[in-house]
Amino acid sequence: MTFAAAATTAILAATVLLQAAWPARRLVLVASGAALSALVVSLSGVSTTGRLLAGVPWDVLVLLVGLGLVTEVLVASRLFGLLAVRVARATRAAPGLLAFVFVLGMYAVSGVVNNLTALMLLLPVVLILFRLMGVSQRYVTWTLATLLVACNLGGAATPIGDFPAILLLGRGAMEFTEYLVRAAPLTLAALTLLLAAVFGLARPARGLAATPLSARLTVATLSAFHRGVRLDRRALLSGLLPLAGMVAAWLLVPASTGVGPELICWIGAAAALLGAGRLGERLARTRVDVEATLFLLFLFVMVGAVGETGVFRDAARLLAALPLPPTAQVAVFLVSSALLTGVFSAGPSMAALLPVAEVLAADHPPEAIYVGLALSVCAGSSLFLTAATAGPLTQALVERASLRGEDGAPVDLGFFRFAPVGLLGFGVTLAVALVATLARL
Amino acid sequence: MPPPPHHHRSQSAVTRFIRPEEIDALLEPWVPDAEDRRFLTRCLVEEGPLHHRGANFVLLRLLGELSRAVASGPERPAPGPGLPVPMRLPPHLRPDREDDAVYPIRLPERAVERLAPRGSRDFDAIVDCLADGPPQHAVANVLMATILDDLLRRSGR
Amino acid sequence: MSFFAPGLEDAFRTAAAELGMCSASRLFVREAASDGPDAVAELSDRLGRPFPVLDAVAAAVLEGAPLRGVDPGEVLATLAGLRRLLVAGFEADFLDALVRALSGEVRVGLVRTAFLEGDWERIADNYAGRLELVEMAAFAGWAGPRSGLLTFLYGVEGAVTHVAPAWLRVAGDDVRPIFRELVGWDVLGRPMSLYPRWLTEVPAGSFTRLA
Repeated sequence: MTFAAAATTAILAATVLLQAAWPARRLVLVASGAALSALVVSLSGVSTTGRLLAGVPWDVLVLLVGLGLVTEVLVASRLFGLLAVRVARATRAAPGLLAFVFVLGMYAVSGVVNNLTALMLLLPVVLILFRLMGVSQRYVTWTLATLLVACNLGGAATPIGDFPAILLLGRGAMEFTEYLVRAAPLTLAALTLLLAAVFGLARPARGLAATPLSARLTVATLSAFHRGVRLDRRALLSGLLPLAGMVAAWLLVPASTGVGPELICWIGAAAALLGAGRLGERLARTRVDVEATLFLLFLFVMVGAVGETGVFRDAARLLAALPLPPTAQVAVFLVSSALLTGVFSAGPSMAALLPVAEVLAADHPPEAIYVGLALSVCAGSSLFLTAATAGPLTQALVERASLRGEDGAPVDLGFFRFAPVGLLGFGVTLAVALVATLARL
Repeated sequence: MPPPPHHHRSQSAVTRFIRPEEIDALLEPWVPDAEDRRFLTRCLVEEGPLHHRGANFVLLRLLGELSRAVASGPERPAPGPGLPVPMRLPPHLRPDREDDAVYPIRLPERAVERLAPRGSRDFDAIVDCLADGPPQHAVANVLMATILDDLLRRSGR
Repeated sequence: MSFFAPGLEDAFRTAAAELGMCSASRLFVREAASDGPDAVAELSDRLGRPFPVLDAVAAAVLEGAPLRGVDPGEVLATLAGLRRLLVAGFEADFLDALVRALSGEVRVGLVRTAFLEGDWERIADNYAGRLELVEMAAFAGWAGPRSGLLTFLYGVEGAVTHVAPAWLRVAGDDVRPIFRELVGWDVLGRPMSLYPRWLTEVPAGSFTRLA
């Protein structure tokens, strides 16, 4: 291994570890790591900063920003708050049913919008419902942890739901329809297994005291919170129509036209913002997720620097040289991907593992490798509460909600409380990924 | 024997002699709207430091007495054009319209012109001195200037 | 057998944060009353001390006075001639009725003063663009000779009344002379019989208009 290869790999590993350990400084840490990586490859003559920047998958960033803005337009329509009221009324605030519906809702929503946004859409109203109906630690742990796993599964279900799939779409590794057709049924299977285990065996609402009057108060209060809130039809149509157009274009426009998924997203996002009028301008100016975009940009630079030194090719060669049959090599790759994601989170893992997957895809059916990788990363995202940004965010929101259990003790969602459900979600998702991938080889 | 200068009278002793309705009546010739008068009266004798409320009441009532004493003179002429009396808002806040954030009374330009020609630096400085400050100063200054100008005009000056 | 689940206090606090003490009390008492007076009595017994406004609302109902709809007529009369109305403190039932009755030419603002933590955007969304959220640093920009400040009173007893602390944040000595009207709207209609936790006593005479 050359000095440049060792140095850039060490910088990448150290930066990813540091940003995980010190999330309050993560943007500055990855910015510094990226600068250092660029310096190493420039001074060693392996590459230049210009080449690193040219190698950044800008199409992926366009997809992320574009989809984020379309989501913001949808959020401004107030659709999700009103839907939550409908759900509370339809379930009569029955805790078990409510948890089940919200988990399904989270899976569906996170298939369309990115995971963090999906969480920010649903979690505040879920927490309000928790405060209104009264909860136990057990109920909060199982419901919210399952919600997080469902969020990861929904994100992996479609090519636009979360970063790993967007990366596959943006890099041209897979086409929209191909990914959707292969990944959605697998995530749905994993979700079904998860729901069966959680609501059939663990039963979050078990032992929760509830009375008809308290349930009525919950519904009445949530309805009163939205008593005059009206659906902003213009915002809704401005978001939904371009999104439908984008999905149709992703499904129907052939790659041979030169119109790629990122351009379709770009045009769709512009149409959504134009349709929303002044709101669109305000959203474009204030609601671009600069933090996530810059984080990924710096990450791509670091991974690009490592890639320029040939480390990923060597890793793939090493994997191929393992004294195992090819299917077992793929299984090792998928399990390692899941575990790495559990420690380093989805963004860094996926960015680093995709080049290895590309080498494996040369010898195996590519779609099986890529979908297997996306599902393994999804499994890893559910392993620990810290594995995906959604976990610490949920933890913080739960703390801020100052929930108390039936005994008056504070209710939280910490690392260890999440662990059993996370392990269940990890196991189910990884098992589905392994079975589905190995069956295709 | 009067008490020493720093001996303060009780709050109730001051509020007892303030009769807002008399200030309201005094304002009537220049502020026709009853709600505007109520607002100005509150600013003059019901808000701010107690000694200002008392002093405003006394000075305005005395001017009112004087005005009534010369009531047999020529009919009260219109006060002519007036200048706005701005409210004291934090400097970063701008009112929506021109007639926002001003008190519903105007400083008669003719009163100021008795001392300095319109457009001069002195004219501007006098306006600034009269209309600046919290309303127990600014509104009281403007009302006194208005009554004094009226008295002078009715006495043929 | 209790009528309510254990987390009743948290539920009420959540409701009061976004509806106001009196409006949340009306909602809880109304729902409890549909299960009979015993449910209202239990509600009052469990939440009365921490939330004296709820205690007063429940007491009225237990004494046989039904909860009525809100009539903004009296307060509307006190606001005649105003072009801007800035509200400090929040009561959903009452502000809803007032905003519906006010002419569309009157701008209505709500000062964002933290009392309990509610979702301000959702609070404003209920008024279809008629209610502007006003930051503390900018509320004086609403001043003027056709401007009024309004807050909700929780019972008037002789010379004193109780208000949400938001009123004290807003209606300081420097602010009083830049608004034509300082309006207090009694939403409770009777004095509280328990210690007025969460609220602050002010002289009833410090308002230019009472409704």
